[in-house]
Amino acid sequence: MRFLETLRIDAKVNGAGEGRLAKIAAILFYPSLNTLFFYRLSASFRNVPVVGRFASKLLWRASLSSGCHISIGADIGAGLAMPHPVGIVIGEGSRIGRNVSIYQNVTIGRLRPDGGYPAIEDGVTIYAGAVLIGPITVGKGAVVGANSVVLKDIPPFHIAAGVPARLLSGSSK
Amino acid sequence: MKQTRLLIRAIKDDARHFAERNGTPLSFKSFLYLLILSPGFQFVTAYRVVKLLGRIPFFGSPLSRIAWTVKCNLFRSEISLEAVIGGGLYIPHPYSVVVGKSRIGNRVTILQNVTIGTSSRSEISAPIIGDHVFIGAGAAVLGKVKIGDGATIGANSVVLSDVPQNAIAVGAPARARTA
Repeated sequence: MRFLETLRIDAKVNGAGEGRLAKIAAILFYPSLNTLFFYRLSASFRNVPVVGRFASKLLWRASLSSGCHISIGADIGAGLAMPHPVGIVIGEGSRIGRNVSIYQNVTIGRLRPDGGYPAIEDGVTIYAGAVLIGPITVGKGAVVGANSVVLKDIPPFHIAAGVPARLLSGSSK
Repeated sequence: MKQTRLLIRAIKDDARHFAERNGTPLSFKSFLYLLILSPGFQFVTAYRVVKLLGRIPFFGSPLSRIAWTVKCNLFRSEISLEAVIGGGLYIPHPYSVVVGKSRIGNRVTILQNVTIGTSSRSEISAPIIGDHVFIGAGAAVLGKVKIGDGATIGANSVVLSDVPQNAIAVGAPARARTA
């Protein structure tokens, strides 16, 4: 059961307690886990024949009350931490690795209607209000500062901030 | 009557713009699809309907005010009833969008977390935004500024001065450069 395994890791990074009951309670009542659960559920519905596509889209529409627009088409690895899940928009073709942290009001999307989406590798932290657009790669363990606009690749374990984002000295390790 | 007809035509233009962005021509089927599943189209249509409610004689004003509050709470975004907005408004992710008193042209794209409004508390000034303008995520357009047709406002930029036609404005405060 990959679905349950993924949820278990999500629950862990979002601060759910030990034990099955604590995890179920957290999925129901933690805003971050609730949002993630509905996203993962609607994404997995996509593969159901005949009604799958419509059902997943309907479920997705119902899950928007938190204010996070995470596209069903986005590929999000296990262990996404969202401390304050409001206003997070993740576009259709984005690829997000494992154990990534995303804060509030972050946008991950494309630059042009026909452009590519960002790829975010494992262990990246993206702080509040940052916008990552275009076919860029954010390397493993990198950190993106608040309200920065990232238009170029960030190498692994680097820190980027500003509008447009520039690499800062020092490593995020 | 003319206002009512304009609003209904605006809904049609909105639907056409949304359908085009989804890669489908506007048909009855795609209109229904947008109405049920597209949060952005629901938000824009809700705004037009609230405006339409205001056209009802006698009850219109309080009715549209109540509907406006419900709409704001539902989508966590607000568009002032004093804003004048042309057809084909495209807001794909209606979250934390705040549009105050302003004039906005046809086929404008507004992304999430955008603020359009006044730059000082004492003086209410309305931005004027042209046709086919694109406003990126998190941008703020403030004060008595004029944004030309076809201009692009970059993500997280703060626009405090005029932007010429087809220019790209980025940064805080935003600098315009012609493309």
